[in-house]
Amino acid sequence: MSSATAHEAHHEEHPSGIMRWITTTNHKDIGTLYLWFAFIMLFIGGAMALVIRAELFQPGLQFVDPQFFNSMTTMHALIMIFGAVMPAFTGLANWLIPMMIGAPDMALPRMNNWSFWILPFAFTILLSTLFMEGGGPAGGWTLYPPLTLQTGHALPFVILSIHMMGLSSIMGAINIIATVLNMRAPGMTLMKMPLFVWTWLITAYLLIAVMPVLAGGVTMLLTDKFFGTSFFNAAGGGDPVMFQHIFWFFGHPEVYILILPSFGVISSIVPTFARKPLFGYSSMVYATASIAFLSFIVWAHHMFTVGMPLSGELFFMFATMLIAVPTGVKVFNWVATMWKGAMTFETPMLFALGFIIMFTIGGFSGLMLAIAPADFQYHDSYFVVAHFHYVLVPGSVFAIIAAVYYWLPKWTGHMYNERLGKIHFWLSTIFVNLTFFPMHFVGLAGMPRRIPDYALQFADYNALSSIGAFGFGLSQLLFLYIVIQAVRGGAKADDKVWEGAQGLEWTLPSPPPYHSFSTPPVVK
Amino acid sequence: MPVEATCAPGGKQDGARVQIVVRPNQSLTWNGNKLFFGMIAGVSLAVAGALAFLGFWPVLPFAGLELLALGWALYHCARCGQWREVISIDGDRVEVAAGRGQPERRWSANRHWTQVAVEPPRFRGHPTRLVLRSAGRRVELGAFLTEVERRRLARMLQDLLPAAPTVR
Repeated sequence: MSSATAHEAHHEEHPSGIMRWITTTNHKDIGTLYLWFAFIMLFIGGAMALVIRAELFQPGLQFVDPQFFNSMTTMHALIMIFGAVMPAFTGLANWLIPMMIGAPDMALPRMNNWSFWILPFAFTILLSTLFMEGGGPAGGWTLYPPLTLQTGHALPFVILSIHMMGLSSIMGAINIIATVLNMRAPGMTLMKMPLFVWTWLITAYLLIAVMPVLAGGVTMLLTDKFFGTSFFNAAGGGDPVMFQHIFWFFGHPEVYILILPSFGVISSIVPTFARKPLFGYSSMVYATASIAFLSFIVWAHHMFTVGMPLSGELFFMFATMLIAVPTGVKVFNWVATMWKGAMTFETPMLFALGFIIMFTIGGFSGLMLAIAPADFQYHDSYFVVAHFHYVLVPGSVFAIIAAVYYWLPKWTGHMYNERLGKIHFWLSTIFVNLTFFPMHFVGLAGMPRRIPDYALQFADYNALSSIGAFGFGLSQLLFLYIVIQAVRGGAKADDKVWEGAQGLEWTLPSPPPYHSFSTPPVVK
Repeated sequence: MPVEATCAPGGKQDGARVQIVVRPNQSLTWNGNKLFFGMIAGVSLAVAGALAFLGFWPVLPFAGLELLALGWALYHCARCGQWREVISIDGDRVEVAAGRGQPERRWSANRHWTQVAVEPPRFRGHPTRLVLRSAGRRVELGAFLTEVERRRLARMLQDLLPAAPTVR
């Protein structure tokens, strides 16, 4: 295979030590950097979740003051979304997309380096706001004005860090688009691409389409606060609700940015362990594209209670329900792939099955929330917290974990400890449900989200959630141990690690050479 | 295939005019890239334009900057894909012309004094370099090829330039 970027066929020096990682333009190195960064952020964001759950273990104020509690909910979300899940998927994309399409590297390797190295600075700035006068941002990750404009010295730093995260995401998306479009091996037509590549191409499209909206929105917050504009200031003729429209026009596609690559991961893993080709490949591609399209026209279901016209509520309600159709196609296809397959249940498959079942639970609670009249009851309650955590934790995070177990032997050349992997799966699954399932009940009973204290009748379920959260958090230390163990050594992995695996990445040695595909791959 | 050799009609490769064209792989045409860019720019500018119309204009410059970056990236890839290296061997002369659309770089030498060398990488795992050398001058060929393709090209050139000793 030859590269589209003829003149970036780099022959430059290959430094060692820390400079290797700072100056690298190699897609595998950068993928590794993204994945470790995401892992670190997972633990930082997770520690914040544990602060929240410790405070909520019982009614009353135990450990933190309400302002700091709200900072924790805000920072936890920003870090998990922009620091953990998105970089983890970008890391997977960096590692896998060139290998899956038969390219030697990403199309724009230097841009790839920049897009990663912006992130540590962005998150250092974001985390530093916790030590500033007035504390960190506490108005929620949605940054609604006028509440968020009451943030102390932290606000401009938060907005700067969001711009930097957006810049990183955009550069990553541009690189993925340029690579997938221009660097596929001869014979690798669009409809032969692995679904992980397809889902990432569509995710990159979404990122390009919506990131300027977020950038513009937060910039207007900044000018409202410091430059006397009134975009969202009702006293100056502005419209605070318009910020919500702008934010969610970004925010809802962002939800799919967080989940579409998961669909690609699961669509790679399920056929491998069912030992059958993926059922309905084309319909999977079209379903992904349909979900992406629908994501642009459902944003206002996040704001049913702001006082929209009835016609608006009906439109957004039905459009949101429509998403269940392509999502249902995907779940059906995964189940049909498994039907009468020669199934085995290695750790990646267990996490993939966990994903399918628990993501579907999150999808169904999403359908409940889509019903506008019912949403008036559920809105801003713990039911919403339960819903999106089911989609994001046993959804996106489980898919990332499944992907790590699935491709770790390819990346490192060593098999991970299967027994510990299975223990990790069962601990994670039990504790994730213990954490988030009771939130449905307290939400339906009326417990609002983003509060450090609550009425006595919610105490039992909150205690269960807190125990689950600590169990889930500690279980991830086992995951860290398993990954480090596999990186450091272990049984040698074959080139084709899994018997049923299909795809160009499995034709490479384990671990793959620094420059992939020194021979042109054969696309079947 | 990224390496295409043609021989003058009726001639044999050892005596006739031989032309080898080396080009990078390009999986999407420039028109395909433009179509994709149009699909994404249309959506992005429509949204940013609508918001600007409603008075929320700061979205527009961000959308514009981002589309500029995307457009540059696609143009850069498509432009790199148009790079061609044409190696012509005619009688006593070896000529290399490289560029996009028209030759931007030329190199020529006496066929009998031209060496083909595949230089090992300075660092393990990095690609080798295929060079033509003559009288202290050198030109690199096929930097964008895979190892197998580069070695295939080197063997082809070694067959065509047999007089000078080959350096590996």
